[in-house]
Amino acid sequence: MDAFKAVSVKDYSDEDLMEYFQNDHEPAFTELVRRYQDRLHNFLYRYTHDHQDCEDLVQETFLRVHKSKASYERIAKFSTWMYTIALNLAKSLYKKKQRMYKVSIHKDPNDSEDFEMHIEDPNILPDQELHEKLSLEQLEKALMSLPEDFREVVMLRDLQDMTYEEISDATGIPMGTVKSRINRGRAQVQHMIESYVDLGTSF
Amino acid sequence: MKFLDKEYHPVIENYIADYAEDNLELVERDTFEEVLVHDDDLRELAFSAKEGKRLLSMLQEVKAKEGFLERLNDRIAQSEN
Repeated sequence: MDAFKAVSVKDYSDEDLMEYFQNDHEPAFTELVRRYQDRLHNFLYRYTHDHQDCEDLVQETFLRVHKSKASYERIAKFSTWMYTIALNLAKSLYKKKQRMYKVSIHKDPNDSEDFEMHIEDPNILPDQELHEKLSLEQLEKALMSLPEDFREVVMLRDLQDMTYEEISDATGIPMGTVKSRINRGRAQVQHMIESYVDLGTSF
Repeated sequence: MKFLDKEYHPVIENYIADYAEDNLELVERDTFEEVLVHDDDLRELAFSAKEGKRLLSMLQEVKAKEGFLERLNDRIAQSEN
């Protein structure tokens, strides 16, 4: 491999950068972080829905990339390898943590049972800007409400623009199953917000 | 949403995905839409998937906050101590 040239760092492929990083060229790792920090934030935020938790998760992903550089083999795309790490982290940390918009209803203040229900506001608000904001919130909620195995592939395709092959490699799911889940995930998102959003006027 | 429970041949799933992503040639799209006319559940799935993809494209992009790289480097340095 040619000598590493920091001035040409933006011209290197991800895989070249990893190889230089494996040979202790730290600026190569920095370039990889710059390339993927926003994409990872955009992806992992849909698991955490909290900016601080999201940054922690993104940092942990890069930390593991940094520590595990010796285990990366060039035969795999760097992005696939990194997203596999990110996905496994997201699943292990947030598997049982689902963020729902909940309202606590106490029928009787002396009642120790706390009933929590997911309530959707069926009213379409008159203020257009607020309505659009709520529509996007509903869209986020719809995405988060998908079954996890549907949500992860939908996010990888529609938020991260990964190819079907890359998604199959990152998740270990056969490509046919990936496509089937994405098709149904997208359809479910549409149906979940259909009752709230007047698609003809809001979008 | 019983249409979500039906399984289709992988070739059909490919067409649904391509239809949702506007990746079909004009003739292919017209042919597929002819098929959709005659299958209610398949039509429901394909139309919903297409609209769902369009809606998802509107999700706001979340980006790293300023200083992320510096905080990451601090964390890496701490982990090595």
